[in-house]
Amino acid sequence: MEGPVAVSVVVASHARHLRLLWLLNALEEQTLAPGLWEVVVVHDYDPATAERVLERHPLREAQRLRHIAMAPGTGSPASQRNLGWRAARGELVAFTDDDCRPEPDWLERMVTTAAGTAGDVVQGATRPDPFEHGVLAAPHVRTMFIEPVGSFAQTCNILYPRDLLDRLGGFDEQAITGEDVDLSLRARAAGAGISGAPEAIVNHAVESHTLPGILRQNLKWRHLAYLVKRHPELRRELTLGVFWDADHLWASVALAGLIAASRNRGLIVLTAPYALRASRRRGPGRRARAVAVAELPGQAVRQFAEVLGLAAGSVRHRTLVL
Amino acid sequence: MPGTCVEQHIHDLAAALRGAGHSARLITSPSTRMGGRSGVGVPSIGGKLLPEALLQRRGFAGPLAHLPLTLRDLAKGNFDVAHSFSPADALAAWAWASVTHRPVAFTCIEPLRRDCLAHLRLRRLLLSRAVEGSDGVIVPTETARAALWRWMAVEAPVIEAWDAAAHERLYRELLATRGH
Repeated sequence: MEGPVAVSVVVASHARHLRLLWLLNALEEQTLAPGLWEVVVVHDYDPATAERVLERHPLREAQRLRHIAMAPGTGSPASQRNLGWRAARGELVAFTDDDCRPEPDWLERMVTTAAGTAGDVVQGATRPDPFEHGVLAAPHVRTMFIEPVGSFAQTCNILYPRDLLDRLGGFDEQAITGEDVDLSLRARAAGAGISGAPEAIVNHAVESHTLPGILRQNLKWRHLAYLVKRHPELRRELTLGVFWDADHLWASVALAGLIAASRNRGLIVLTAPYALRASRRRGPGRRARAVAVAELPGQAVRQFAEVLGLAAGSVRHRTLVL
Repeated sequence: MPGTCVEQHIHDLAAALRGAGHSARLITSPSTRMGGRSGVGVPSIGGKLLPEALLQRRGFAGPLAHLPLTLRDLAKGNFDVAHSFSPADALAAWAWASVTHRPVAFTCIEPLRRDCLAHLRLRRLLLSRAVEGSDGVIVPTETARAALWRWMAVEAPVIEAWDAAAHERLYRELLATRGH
């Protein structure tokens, strides 16, 4: 595997070797001419897993896949992606995540859009994987829906010119989360535009979690305050400039109502807007409403935990985000 | 165990093992064609406990409702080897094996497809536990072998259902691996 390629696909992978395999299989089906692209995976898998999933993959045999192993548990998404793009041979660097499944024409469309908007960052569309829509029946799911150009420029479907990454110094390795948002904001500040490629589609995994599992997973979001402190302009994207989204606003009001109700029972009414909103989250219809109501306590615990986590992060980073 | 092709496979294997002098027993749901007796003189036990329809409505990969009783029947059976044919049953077999230290085999009968790897809740977890947590994984056809490698990166030998001798060898190897 020698010589330059037009685009390098960089993937950071941790604790999801099966998903990574499925991603590599999807990349194998890309319509972009084989000589024009490569894949660089940065991971922390043990040698046996790396042999099984990466070394013996057809993309590796076709000399279109390289992988860089880090010691288990030593990487972060930012550091892994930095290692990946610095090792890339392409003038363009496309990022996707190990829990994604790009459509076969994804890379071709990203490269075509990049060619028409020289120097711009290109953001494609991300949607919950139609193959996994059945999982949406679970009360706690994690997936992504992004219509380009979005404000956050997540790495599940984004392309940067290599020289822009060089100028920006890559991802901020101090950021525990939101390193992709931070990079895109610095790119904008440096004068780069962000172009949308709505037909370059990446399907994102739909993962269901238990309540404790989703609480653990969402703990990292408490560090979003760090991101907002670094980029105050992000407040324009927040509800009322403080709340991460409308759910957090009403969850905060409900939480305040629950706490205040111990002194004044009437204030329990403050929980009503949140309860009403949560009871409609499954859509119209009696059955959907019944399911949403049954799920309401778990949803409330989750939202309250997220708000409290963000409050703790706000104290730590000395800026208010809930 | 859903699907007539799967049922036929199990039927053929049970008949072949029985014909080779082994005392094979089926643990199966009464809702399947093999409930009660398999038709080849293989005793069949098992039943249902939970309402499957509720689990299906909530998006779970199934069938799962029979698993508690499957586990109970496995525990009561004093078996040497548990051989599962669906990812959900492999979970029960794995739980049984973790207590009894007996081996578990898993036959991945149907060729895996990308659209069915994670299409329901628990599907990916059950599938990965079945192929990565079983002591021995086999497939009945070349197509199933290729699909298992492509989607799970697991190599498995092809052993057809009628081949009692090959299954017997597999069970002996698995028992030896577990120190029996």
